[in-house]
Amino acid sequence: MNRMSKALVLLLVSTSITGCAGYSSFVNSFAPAKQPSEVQIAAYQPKDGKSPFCEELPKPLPPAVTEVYMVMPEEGGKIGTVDVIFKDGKNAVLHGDYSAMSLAGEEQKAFVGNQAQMRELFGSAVDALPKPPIAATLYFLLGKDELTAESKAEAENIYRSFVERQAPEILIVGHTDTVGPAKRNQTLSVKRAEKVRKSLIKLGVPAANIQISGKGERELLVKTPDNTKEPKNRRVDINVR
Amino acid sequence: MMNYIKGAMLLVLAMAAFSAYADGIGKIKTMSGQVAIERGGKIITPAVGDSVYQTDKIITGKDGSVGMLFADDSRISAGPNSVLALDKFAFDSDTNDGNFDVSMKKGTLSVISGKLTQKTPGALKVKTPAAILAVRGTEFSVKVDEPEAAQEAKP
Repeated sequence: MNRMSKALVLLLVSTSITGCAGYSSFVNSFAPAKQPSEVQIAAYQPKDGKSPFCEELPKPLPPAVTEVYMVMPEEGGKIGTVDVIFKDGKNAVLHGDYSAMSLAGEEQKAFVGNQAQMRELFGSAVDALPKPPIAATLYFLLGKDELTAESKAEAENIYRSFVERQAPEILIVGHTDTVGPAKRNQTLSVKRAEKVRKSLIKLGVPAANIQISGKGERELLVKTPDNTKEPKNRRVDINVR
Repeated sequence: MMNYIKGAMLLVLAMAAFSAYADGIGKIKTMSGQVAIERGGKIITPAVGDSVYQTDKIITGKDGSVGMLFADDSRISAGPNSVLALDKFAFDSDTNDGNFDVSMKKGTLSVISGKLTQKTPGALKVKTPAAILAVRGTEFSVKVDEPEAAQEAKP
C-alpha cells in the first residue's frame, strides 16, 4: 500500500511534467513485474486508453459539429422517438423531449437539450411549421339551416381560428337527421353547408379556398331508424388545413 | 375505328398528364424571405398556398423559411440556407399506408409526423449526409452544416 501511494505521487508528477504519454509508459512500466493485485491494476487502468487526468486537458481543435438531431416536446404529452442509422452502420435511438445527438467528425454524442438550445439551433425552422389541420362541428335546428343557440355562440370563435390561418383549405360537409324525405334532406344538408360558407366569406376567407358538399341523411353520426329526430345528426362538419 | 382508338389513346395520355400535374403531395402554408423550388430542372418562385410535388427540391436563402403541410397531415419546415428534397411521397388516404422520404443537404429542418407514421412507425425518413432518421412518431428537428462550410470554419 505504501508503494502504491508513492506511485500515485510519482504518477501525478510524471503526468504534470510529461503529459499523457508519460503517464501511459509509467503505468506500463510498473504493471506486470511486481504482480500487484487485480484491484490495483484496475484502479490505474486508463479508461478507454486515456488517463482520467488527460480528460481535464484542453483538447486541441475538436472537429466542428456538422449535424444535430433533437426530439421536440409534443402537444398532448406524447413521447417522440426517432431511430438514427448512421452511414457506418451504427445506430441510436432518440426518445423523449429534447433527446438529442450531435455529430462532429466521426464522433456521435448523445445529449439531452432544452428549450433554449432548441430555439438557438432550430428556431427559424420551428417557427415556420404550419398549424395542424383542425376539425369542428356545428349543430342545427330541426329542419332548418339555422344554428342551435350553443353552436351559434361557438361559431364565431371557430370561424376566427380559421381566418387566422394562411392559405386555409376549408372543406364543409352538411348533414341532416332522418326526419322527412331523403331528397329534401339532401337539399337541406347543402343549405346548411352553404350557410357556414357564407359566414366564412363574410369574415374574409377567399371563396376559392372553400369547398362544400351535402350528404343528406346518408352519413349519420348517430345511427337511427328513418324519421327519427336526432340533434347530433343535424350538423355541419368543417375541416381546415 | 382507328380514329376511335387514337382518340381513346389521346384521352388516356391527357388524363395521365393531368393527374401527374395535379398530384400535389402538399401545400406551402408559411413562407418568408427567399424561397425557391427546383422542379424538373427549372427554378420556380413559389407563393403561399402553392402545391409541392414529389422530387421537388426546396431551397431557402439566408433569410428564408418555408413550412409545408402534406396530404397525410405531416408538416415539414425549413429554416434559412437550407436545401431539402421531397424524394418520395406515397400515401393511401383510406388505409394511411405509404411512406415519405425526405433528404436534406444542409440547413435546418423541423418535422411533425402525421398519419403515415401513426399507421407505420418509421414510414417517414429524413436522410442527412451522415445518417438516416426514421421517425416513429414525433416532432423533431435536424441541423446540417454544409461540409465545405464546416471545413472553412476549421482554422
